[in-house]
Amino acid sequence: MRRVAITGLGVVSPLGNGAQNFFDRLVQGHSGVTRLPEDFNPRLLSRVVAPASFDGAVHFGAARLRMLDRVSQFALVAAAEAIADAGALFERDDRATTGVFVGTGMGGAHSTDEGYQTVYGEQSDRVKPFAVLMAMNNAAAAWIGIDHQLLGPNLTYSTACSSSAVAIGEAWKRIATGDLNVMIAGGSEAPLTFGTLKAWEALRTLAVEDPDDVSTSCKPFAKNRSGLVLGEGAAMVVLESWERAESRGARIHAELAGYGLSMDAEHITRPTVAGQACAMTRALESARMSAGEVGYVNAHGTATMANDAVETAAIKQVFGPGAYALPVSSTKSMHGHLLGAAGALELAATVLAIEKRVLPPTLHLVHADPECDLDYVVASARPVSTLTAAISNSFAFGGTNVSLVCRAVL
Amino acid sequence: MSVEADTTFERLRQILAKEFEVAPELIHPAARMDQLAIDSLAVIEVIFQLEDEFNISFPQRPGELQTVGDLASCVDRLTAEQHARGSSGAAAP
Repeated sequence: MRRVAITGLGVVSPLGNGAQNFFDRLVQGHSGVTRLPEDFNPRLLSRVVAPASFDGAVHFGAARLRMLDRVSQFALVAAAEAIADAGALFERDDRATTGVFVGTGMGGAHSTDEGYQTVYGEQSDRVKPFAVLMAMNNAAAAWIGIDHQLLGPNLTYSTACSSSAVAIGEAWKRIATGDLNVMIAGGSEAPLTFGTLKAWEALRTLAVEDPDDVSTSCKPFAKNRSGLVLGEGAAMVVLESWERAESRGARIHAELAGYGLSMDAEHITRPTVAGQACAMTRALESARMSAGEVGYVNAHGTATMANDAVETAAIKQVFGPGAYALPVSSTKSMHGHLLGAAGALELAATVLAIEKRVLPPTLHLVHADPECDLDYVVASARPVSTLTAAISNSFAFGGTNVSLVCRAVL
Repeated sequence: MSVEADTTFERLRQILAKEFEVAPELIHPAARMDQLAIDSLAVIEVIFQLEDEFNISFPQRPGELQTVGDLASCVDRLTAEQHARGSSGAAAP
């Protein structure tokens, strides 16, 4: 297996755009969680969300915008940043073999919502002519390939909340096995539409608004956690074979060292300790890394009752007694749950934590849950003197679990 | 060119300039749509906007619409047919 370098990062997030800006705000402990505006459909009862501050018109002309669902806009902006961040990525003109793997759970949800509103809500036949092209799940990946003339495999993965972690893991595998040398991988999600939010509300899994401060409503690992907060955004990484990255003198953020994939195969929503532990174990095995080398876990940490307790137990199973000394944080407390883009965004946080040797915190964890008894980097970021490896978890409805392992550049 | 065609052309010209970012000086009846960077897919979007602008419906297969003049003529023909029928929205299939 070949080593894989992460040479580019791009982020559109509820904490702002740009990977470095995103990480700075994580470390500063900002929350992107807020309440929907008063004029958003009042029939929606669960109104706590984590929106991205993003205006497509800043990035695209009017004609282009009419073809791009918000999910594709996010993806294109994040991909462009990642490619620029990688610096002279295509100076050898090997775009012909560069692939694009993108994860999304809900694809062009805005376009789907709008189309249904037209035909069912308004009883009108004036469906926008590009509704199909905007709503299709592979639009984001396709546009990245088109805009950057990348002729390699162009695939879209949809495994709910682990979609982009799968996309990045599968891209890692393509490079590690020698199939390809460069991949653009990540995820995008734009689920903050009335229809999508209403569907999530019906599932009764969204966070209850904190009565004192809406921005603290997402409380991973806390006893009074009440559910997840839906967020929107995208994150993309540039992956290269280590040899290629070194030979062109690229700045390497970190090594993407391993990828573990497992399936619960038990229940459509309820996670299992065995399934989550299996993903982490497989990731460590593929990285040829011992559990003791890991210095930080960026948890899936959704703030649902089920996930956080199960993930805590799974971490203990994998790391043994050492789990209690292992810092674990859920950055979802600040950026919410980006569903299909969550894994990519949290990998970006993990990579930058390694690079800058600062662990982003878990916010709003005031009331401890006896079932969640690890070191969750509570309240504020923690500088560390050494951090050689970290793991990022992404688990999903449906049961597809992913862990990605990163190693510092030494 | 009739006064009505002039009017149709002018309204079409404004849509192409405003919504499709075509330089107004390039828009003339003989200008090919693809030369204005409006490919066959984008023509579908133009048709959608013309349907709203002129309160007409294009058929599913509107035939050759290669130039700005083709589009303007088609709009005039559909406007005459559909308004003569007293139906503002019903298109021939």
